[in-house]
Amino acid sequence: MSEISLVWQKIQAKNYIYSYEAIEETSVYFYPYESLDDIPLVVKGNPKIAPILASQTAESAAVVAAIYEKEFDDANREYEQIMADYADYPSLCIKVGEAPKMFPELDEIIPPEKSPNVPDWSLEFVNSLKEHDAEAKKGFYPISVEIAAGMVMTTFTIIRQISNEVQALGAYKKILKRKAGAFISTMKMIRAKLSDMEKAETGDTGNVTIVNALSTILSYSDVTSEISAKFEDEINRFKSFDNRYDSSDEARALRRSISTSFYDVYTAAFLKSVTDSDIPIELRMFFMFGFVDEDLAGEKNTEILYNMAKAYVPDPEGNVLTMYEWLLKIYNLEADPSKNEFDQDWPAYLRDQKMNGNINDAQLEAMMNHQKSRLDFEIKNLFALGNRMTFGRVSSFVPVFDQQNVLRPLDMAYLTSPKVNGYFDMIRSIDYSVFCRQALYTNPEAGITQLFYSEDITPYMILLPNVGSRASLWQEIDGKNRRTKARMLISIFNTENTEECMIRLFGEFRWEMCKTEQGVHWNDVTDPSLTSMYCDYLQFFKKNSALSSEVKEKLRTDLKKFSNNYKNVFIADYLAYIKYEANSSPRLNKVAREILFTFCPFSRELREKIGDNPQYTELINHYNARIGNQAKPITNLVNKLRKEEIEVPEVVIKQLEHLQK
Amino acid sequence: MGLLKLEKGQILHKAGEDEVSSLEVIVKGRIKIYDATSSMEAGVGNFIGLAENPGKKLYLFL
Repeated sequence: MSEISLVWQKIQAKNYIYSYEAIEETSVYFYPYESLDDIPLVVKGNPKIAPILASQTAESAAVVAAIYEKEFDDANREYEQIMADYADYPSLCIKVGEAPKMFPELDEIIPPEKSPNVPDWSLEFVNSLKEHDAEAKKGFYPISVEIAAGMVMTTFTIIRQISNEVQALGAYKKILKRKAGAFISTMKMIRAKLSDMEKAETGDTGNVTIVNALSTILSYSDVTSEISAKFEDEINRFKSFDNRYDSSDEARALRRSISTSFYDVYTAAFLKSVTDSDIPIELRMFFMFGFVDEDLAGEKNTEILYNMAKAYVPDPEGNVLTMYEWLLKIYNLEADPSKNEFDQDWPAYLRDQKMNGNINDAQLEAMMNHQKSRLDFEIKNLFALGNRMTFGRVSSFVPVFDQQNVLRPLDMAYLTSPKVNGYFDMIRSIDYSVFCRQALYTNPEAGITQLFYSEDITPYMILLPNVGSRASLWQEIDGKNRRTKARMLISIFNTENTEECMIRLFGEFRWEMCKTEQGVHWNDVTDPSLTSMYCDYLQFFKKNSALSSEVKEKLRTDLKKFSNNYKNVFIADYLAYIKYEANSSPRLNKVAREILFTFCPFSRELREKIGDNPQYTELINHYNARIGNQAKPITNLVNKLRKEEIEVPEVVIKQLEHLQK
Repeated sequence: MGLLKLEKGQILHKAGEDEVSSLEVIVKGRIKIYDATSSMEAGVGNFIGLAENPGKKLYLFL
């Protein structure tokens, strides 16, 4: 190289080991710091405050020495506890009836040792300096600036040595935790079992033994040590944040990161649990409520969640399912995975993957009924997206149970299968045909060539493991089959008015189901349906002579409020229809009432109750005439079959009963 | 060399991210010094960064 160029490089450039945060309004004077020689220069450059600098450095050295002693004691205590437990382990295993496992990594652990770099005299020296600080500040440090600088450097050297040893102890504790992690979790489980056995003996069922649930969950899930350490660290950081729902970048990144790790752990734990007949209670709480840590959940909430998980009874009809039960259905091929965010169901997604060249024909075939692939798809789509959606506050979502999100007493917010089935019954008692689908029945032997009948198909209600405020319709049918159950999502703990949440959800279902049934004609007014009539009404309300100017103004405001989204205007009207109109408290305008009553008629009981109301008299008369026309041929058919002594098919009888509802 | 004012909660240096190139003396207020396992507080007259390793500048002729 002919030309000599000057290149500036920084070597030995180190990053800070500690973080420094102002705990009140603070001012600091800063000096360049390139080598240790800069420290005495700072002291000598400030002769007036040199004694104070010497005194404060000595005090800091004493504080650091105390931290070192404490860290050493903690590490020693942890080590001794592990070793004592290890010695007791075989006999405890016999006591609880478990086969002892091998923990060879425990043999590699050595006790912590005090470093020769921090001799006792140096600790005594800094402690003595602190003790006699007043005298030293008065008569020793002020003697000369060189003495003050010398004292700063002496105590500084001790601080640095101790600080290095504190760091080493921190590293020792991390290794100890890594090597003994599995053993610690096993011991906790054994202790919990022992405690339960003791309680069973004494008949005491009051206290809950949930300790270090996160370790139990991580140990059970068998995730890699990287994922395990990452999730544990994230939860600890999340716990230590005072403002964990802050909008700062750091808090957001942490919440996002927790979400990713959460599903990794959930998947692994789920896969292990499918072959386990005795799932630990911590895991059941994790699956049902997203519970991961007793401190994060709070002592009282942990106790409530524990009792709820223990007392949980599945829905005998199988319509109301926890997320865990739903995933089990997918995994066991009892239900197909739900649609993804692009409205693709499982076969459509696989076909798309094949078209994009990501998988070939053989892989497509293999994946179609591959349990793990189906589970992954469901967790990535319905679970991850639905969990965030039902939580209500998308930007501050975390999938783990946190007491800060408990805005309503848990026992009141808890949705059980009887409660949800109660809402299904409630809506049916008002809008009796809400879950009905039209189907075709033929029975040539009985002379029935074509009979359209209504089939009531109760949807699935999947309870997401969060404390949230929203309910959502994930899909109204499964694939192309219109006789399949809808999939609805709601938080297992609903903090809002659950009745209104449910009515809105059923309204949304009404709208979406109609759209699916009508296909491309969903907004075609020549083919009357709920959606087409409603769209026509909202599109041309300005020219509708049946509406007064006040009503038109209200409609204009409503459309603005719902950003011109016809579905949302309908849902608001449906809520008013079910909640108020059904109780003889008119809230809707004439046109909306007519459309709603035509396509979502009230049950017979309600029709009789509001029959005298002039707003409904004409509507009910029309309804009776229409239903009479539909029922007449069926009644004739039944009479004919009975006359010919042919058994009347159940479908026919049920349809007749349906029309009489 | 100069005076730096910090608001409550403001981070002066962040572990693992900022590079050590200055030494500070607290002239007003208090600063919390912490890592993942331990923490301490420092008041007026304390040095900030004594336990840290400063970076060195070196000139290389190529």
